[in-house]
Amino acid sequence: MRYFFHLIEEGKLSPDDTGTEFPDAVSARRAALSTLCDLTSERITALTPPSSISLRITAEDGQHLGVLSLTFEEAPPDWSLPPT
Amino acid sequence: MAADHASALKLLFDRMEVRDRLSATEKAALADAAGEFRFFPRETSIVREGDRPSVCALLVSGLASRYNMTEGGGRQITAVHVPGDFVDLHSFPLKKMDHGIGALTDCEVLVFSHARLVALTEAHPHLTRVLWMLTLLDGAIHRRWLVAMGRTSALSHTAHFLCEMYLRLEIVGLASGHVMPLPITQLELSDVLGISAVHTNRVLQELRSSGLISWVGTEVRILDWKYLTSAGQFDDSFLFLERIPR
Repeated sequence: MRYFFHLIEEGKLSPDDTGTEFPDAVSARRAALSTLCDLTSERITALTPPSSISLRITAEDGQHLGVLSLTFEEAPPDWSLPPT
Repeated sequence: MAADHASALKLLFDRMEVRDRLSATEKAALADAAGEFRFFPRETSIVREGDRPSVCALLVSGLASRYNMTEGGGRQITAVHVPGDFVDLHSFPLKKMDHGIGALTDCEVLVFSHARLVALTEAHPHLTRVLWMLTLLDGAIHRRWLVAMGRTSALSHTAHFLCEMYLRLEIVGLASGHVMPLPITQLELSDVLGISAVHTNRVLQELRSSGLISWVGTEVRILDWKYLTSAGQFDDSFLFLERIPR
């Protein structure tokens, strides 16, 4: 089955119009997790962490497999650890 | 496709003569040491990790990979070989293989027995140095891959890989005009790059949409060589394209 991984970064959609073959939804989700991790790591290495980055997974039969998202936050300098 | 000895050896001579000159005697000695052709269908092993081959294989047609498997069943491709590459010259002095060599496409190889290579290297010191250089060249390519994999983005790494493959195929006359045959799947490319197939797909879409390459079927067309080399931080010095006495 062919799965599509649409990237949504800072609210901007960059559709996947070619897709990638996977034997099942579990392996497609695993690949999406790894991709999300790789993409985030690249952005952070380039010192441009996105505030949010998501992959929306769909299958060629029209099925929606959900959205995987990561958000990035940077606290102000006066931020302190909550009391334990 | 059945190759003949002369055209198979020409691929090797072309690769060597980009970097040094060979005498007629040396070419004749190499031709004399060549054995028979062997055919390996796509996705079969040419040599397995742990094997102790008694021959070295000169790739004559197709693309082959060096690879190692991880515990989880993942594959990391550590080199892609093009025709004219002595894919397992390493096995001659190393004896036991620490990695496998697989056929990425249907492959034809010309074998050289280790016994003939012993005689060849004992009789021809200069030719021996050129063969030695070919394995050092494999090492230089590995170093570039390591840097690209560890310290550059997936897009830059992919751009570097495409520039490298183009030059290596051009040397043996299999690519020209910035067009090359690259019959590998996205999954295989992701095993080269060490990233997921989904990420590889996204990088290729980015390279296509920014007008750097077109990849239709098995043909890659580099539309903007200058920009692709810059995106890949590509410098061909690791391919040692200087024709000097070795």
